[in-house]
Amino acid sequence: MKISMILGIPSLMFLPVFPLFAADGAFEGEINATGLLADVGGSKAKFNEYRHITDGVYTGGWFDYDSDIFFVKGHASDVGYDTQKYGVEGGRYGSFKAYFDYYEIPHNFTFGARTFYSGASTNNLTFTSPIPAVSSWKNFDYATKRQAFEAGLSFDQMKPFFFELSVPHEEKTGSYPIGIATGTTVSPGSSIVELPQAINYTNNAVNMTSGYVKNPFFAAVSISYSEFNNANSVQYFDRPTGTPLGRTSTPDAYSQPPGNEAYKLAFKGSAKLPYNSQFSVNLARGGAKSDDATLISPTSMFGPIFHGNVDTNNYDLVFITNPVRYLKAKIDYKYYERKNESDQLTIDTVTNNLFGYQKNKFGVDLDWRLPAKFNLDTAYTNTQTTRDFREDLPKNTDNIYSTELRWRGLNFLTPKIRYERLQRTADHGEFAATDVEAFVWRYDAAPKDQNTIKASVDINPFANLNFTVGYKYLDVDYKDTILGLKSTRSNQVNLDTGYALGKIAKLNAYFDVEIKKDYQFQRSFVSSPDPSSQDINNYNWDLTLKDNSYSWGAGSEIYLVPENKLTLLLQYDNVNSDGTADFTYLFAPALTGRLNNDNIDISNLDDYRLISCSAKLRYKPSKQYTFIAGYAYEKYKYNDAQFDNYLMVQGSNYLSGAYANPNYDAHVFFLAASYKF
Amino acid sequence: MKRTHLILFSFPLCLLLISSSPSMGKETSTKATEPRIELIGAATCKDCHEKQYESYAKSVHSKKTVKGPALQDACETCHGSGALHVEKGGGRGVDIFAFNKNVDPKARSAKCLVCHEETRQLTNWKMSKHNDEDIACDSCHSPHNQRGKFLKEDQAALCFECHKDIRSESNRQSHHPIKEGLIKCSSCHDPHGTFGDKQIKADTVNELCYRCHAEKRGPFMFEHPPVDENCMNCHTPHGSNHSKLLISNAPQLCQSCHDVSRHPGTPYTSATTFGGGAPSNKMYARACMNCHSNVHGSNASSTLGQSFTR
Repeated sequence: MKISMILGIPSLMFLPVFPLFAADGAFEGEINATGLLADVGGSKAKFNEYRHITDGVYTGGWFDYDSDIFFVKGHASDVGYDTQKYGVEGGRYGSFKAYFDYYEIPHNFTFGARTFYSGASTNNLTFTSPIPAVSSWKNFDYATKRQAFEAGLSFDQMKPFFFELSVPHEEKTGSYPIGIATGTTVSPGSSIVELPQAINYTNNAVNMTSGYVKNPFFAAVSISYSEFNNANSVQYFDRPTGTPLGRTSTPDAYSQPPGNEAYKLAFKGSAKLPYNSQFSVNLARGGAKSDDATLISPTSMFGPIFHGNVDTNNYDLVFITNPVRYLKAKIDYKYYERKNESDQLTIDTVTNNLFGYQKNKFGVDLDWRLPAKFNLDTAYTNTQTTRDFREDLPKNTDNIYSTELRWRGLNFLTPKIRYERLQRTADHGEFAATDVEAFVWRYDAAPKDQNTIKASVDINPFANLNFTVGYKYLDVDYKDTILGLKSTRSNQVNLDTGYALGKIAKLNAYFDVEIKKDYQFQRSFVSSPDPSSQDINNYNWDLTLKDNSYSWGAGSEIYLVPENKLTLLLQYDNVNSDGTADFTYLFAPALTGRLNNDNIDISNLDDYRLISCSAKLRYKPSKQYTFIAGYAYEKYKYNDAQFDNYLMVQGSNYLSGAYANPNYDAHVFFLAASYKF
Repeated sequence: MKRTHLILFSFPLCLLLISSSPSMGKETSTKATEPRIELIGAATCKDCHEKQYESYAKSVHSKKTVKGPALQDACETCHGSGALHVEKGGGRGVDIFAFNKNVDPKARSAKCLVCHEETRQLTNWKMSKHNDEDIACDSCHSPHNQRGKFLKEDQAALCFECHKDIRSESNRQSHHPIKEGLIKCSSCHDPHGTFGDKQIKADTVNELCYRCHAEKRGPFMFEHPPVDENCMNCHTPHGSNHSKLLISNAPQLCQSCHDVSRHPGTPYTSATTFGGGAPSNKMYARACMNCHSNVHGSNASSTLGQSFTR
C-alpha cells in the first residue's frame, strides 16, 4: 500500500500539469448515473457472487485530455460500491506514461451462515459449553473482498531503451468456510466443525523491466518481488467435541497459510537472423521463502520454526524460421526445475517430504503452406518429468503428436481440423502386493493415451450473416491404472450465428453443449488392497460420473428509430448442467440393509439452471445524451445430493450453512443517463 | 539441461539454416514493398471517408510525436497510395490496400508490423499461436475504433468470437469473474505470444496463479505434490459446474487418487447423504474438505499436517 501510494500520489499530482504545456489539446469525457431497484429472493450472496447489485444510484464517468504531445485519461465506475474501480493515466506520447489504478473484487459465498462461536471473522472463535440450540446461533457472512492498488511508470524517452515499473498492492479480507476434524485430542476422529476462517492477507509486489528493442535485437531484464503477509497465521477455535472440550487452558488451532516472499529474475531476448528467422531465449531464476512456527497439537501449540525455501529455474530456447514461403518451422526447448530446499523436520515420528520436480521439453513444429490455400501444421513434443519424493510415479515421458489442416480457399468458408495424440509412459515404484500403491495410479501422472480432435467451420455466405460450428472430442484412457480414474470422454459442440437485418436489427444466437463421462474403478478394503479377490470387507466398486453442460441464448438489437436514436436490446441466456453418479458394488454382499446397486446412485450431482433475460430501451437524442431504461430477470436453481435435506447439526458434526442454499430469483429495474462532453 | 534434448534442438536448427538459401524462395518480409507512386494526401481521403479520417485524427496514429502515420503518409502509410483508387472512382478494395478477408492475413499484419514490430509488446509475435493460425492484427484491432488498444469489441466478447469452448466454460456456475468484467482474458494470457503454453503470462501455470493466490505459494512443510506441480491437475481456470473450479466433484475427485484403507476407499453413495440411511461427513456438504481444508499445504506437524487437516 505504502509503496503504491508513494508512487501513485506523485503520479496523480503531476498528471494534471501536462495540459498546461499544450494549448492545442482536446478535452472530452462522460458522466453517468444509474438508478437501480433490485428485488432479490433467496441467496443474495450467490446472486452477487462477484457483483454488488442493490437498490441505489451507481455513478461513474471518464475523461480524456489529448494533445499532440500529452494525454491524461481517467475513469471511475460503481463509485462507493464493492465493485468500484478508478484509474488515471497520463504521459507524453512516445516518451513516458504513468498510471494509478484502484479496484475492488468481491467474492460472496454465503450470507446468513450460522455458528455457535463468538468472534466470527476473527481468528479467535470461542464458545461456552454446552453448545446452544441452532435457533440461538449467531448469523455471519462468508465473503471476501480484494482491494487492489497499482501504480506504474513506463519510459520510452531513450528509445530503443525502455524501462517499466509497476507496484501492485492488494488486501484481501473477509471470512472463508473451513472444516476441521475434532474427534480426539491429536487425531481427526469422526466429528467435524465448519467454521469461518478469518482472511486478512496483504500482498506487496514490485516489478521492474528494463531493456532494448530495435531490430534485429530485443533484450530485457526483469526483476519482480512479492511479499505476502497473513495477519492470522493461526485460526484459534474451541473444540466442540473430543478433549479438551471448549476452552479449558488452550484453544485448538488450525494453521493458516504462512507469510512468504518470492522473487524472480529473468532475462528475455531475441535476435532476428537471416532467412526470416528468429532465436529467442527466456532465462529465469526464482524462489519463494517462508518462515513459520509449526503447529504441534491443540495442547502444546507451537513447535520448531519451519523454513520453507523453494528455488525455480526456467530456460526457454526457441528458434523460428520462415526461410521459404511454404514452410515455417519452430524448434523449442524448455527446462523447468522446482528445487525444494526447505527444512526437513521430524515431529512425532512424521517427517515432511521435500517435493520437487524437473521438466525437460523439446518440440518441433512444421507449418506447411500447401497448394490450393491449404495449411498443414505438424508438431511433435517430448516432455520428460522427474519428481523427487513421488515414489508412486517418479518419472513421466510424454510424447505428443499433432496435426492441423486449415483451408482458406473460399473467403466465406474457413474449415479447420486438428488431431492431437498424447502418449504418456511412467515409471511406477516397486511396491509389495500388500501395499495399495502397487495398484493405485494417480491420474495426474499415470500412463495414458489421450486423443483430442477439434474441428470448426466459419461460414460467412453474406457480409451480414455468419455461422460457426465447433466440435471438440477428448478421450483419455489411463491404460495401466488398476485403481483410480480409468477414463475420461467428452464431446463438445458450439454453435454460433449472427445476422444483421439491414439497418433494422442485429440478431445473434448460440448453443453450447458438452457431454462428459468419467469412469473410476475403486476398492474399499480393510486388509487386502489387491482387487483380484473380494469379500465383505475387501471389495471393488466402480463409478461412472456424467457431467453434462448446456448453454444457449439469443440476443437482438432492434433499431426502432434509425441512427441509433432509439434501440431496443433484448437478451436471453440459459446455462444448466446435469450430473449423475452411477455406483456399482462389484461384490453385491457388501451392500447391506435395503441397499442395492439400483438405489445407491445419485441423480443430482451439481445440477443447476441459471436463466437470465433482460430488456433495455436505449434513447440517444443527441451525441451528448444517452438514456437507458431496462429490466433484468435472473433465476438460479441448484440441486445437489450433498446439500439436499441440509442439517446444521448431524450427530456430533456441526455445520454452518456454507454453500447450503444458493437458489435465488431476482428482478432488477434500472434507469441510466449519461452525458458526454 | 538434458543432453539429448540439446542435440535434438540443435540438429534441426542447423539443418534448417544450411538447407535454407536465398534462391529457395522469397522472404516473407514485414517491410512494405510496394513501389511508391503518387500520393493523394489525407485531405482527399477525408472527402469520402470522413468518419474514418475523424477516428484517425483522434487516435495516437495521428500524433506527430509518435513514429507512425503522422510522420509518414497519413492514411496512405497503411492503405498504400490512393491515386488509382481515386482515379477509378473508389469502391471497396478497388486499387487500395483494404484490411478485409480478401487480403492475405500475413500481408495485413505486415502493414502494422512495419512500426509495431520494434515494440516490446510484439517481440514474441512470431511465437504466437495467433500468428500461426493466420490471425491478423486487424482481426482484433481496428485503428479506426475508439476503444482502448483499438479493440473491435470488449475483450471477453472479442476472444469468445473464436474461443467458444472457453465462453461456454466461463458461463458455468463456478467461474473466474470474466463475464462480470472484473478480470480480463489478458490478465492471464498475452495474445501476442509468450514462451508459456497457451500464451500464459508466466513460465508455469502455478507461477501465474500465485500472482493473485499468493497464499497458496507456501512453501509449506507438508505439500500436496500434484498441487505444487500444476494447479490444473484439480482446477480448470475458466469455469466449471463444480465448486471452486474443480474438474470434478469431491469426494470422487479425491478418491480417484486416494484409494487407501478406511474412508478414502469407501463408496460415498446416495446412502451417505443427509437424507440417506447412513449420512457421512465424508460425503455431505463439502465432502473431503469438511476435514482436509488445508489441501493446498499445511504447516501443522505430524499426521495433522500430513493429512492436511490442520
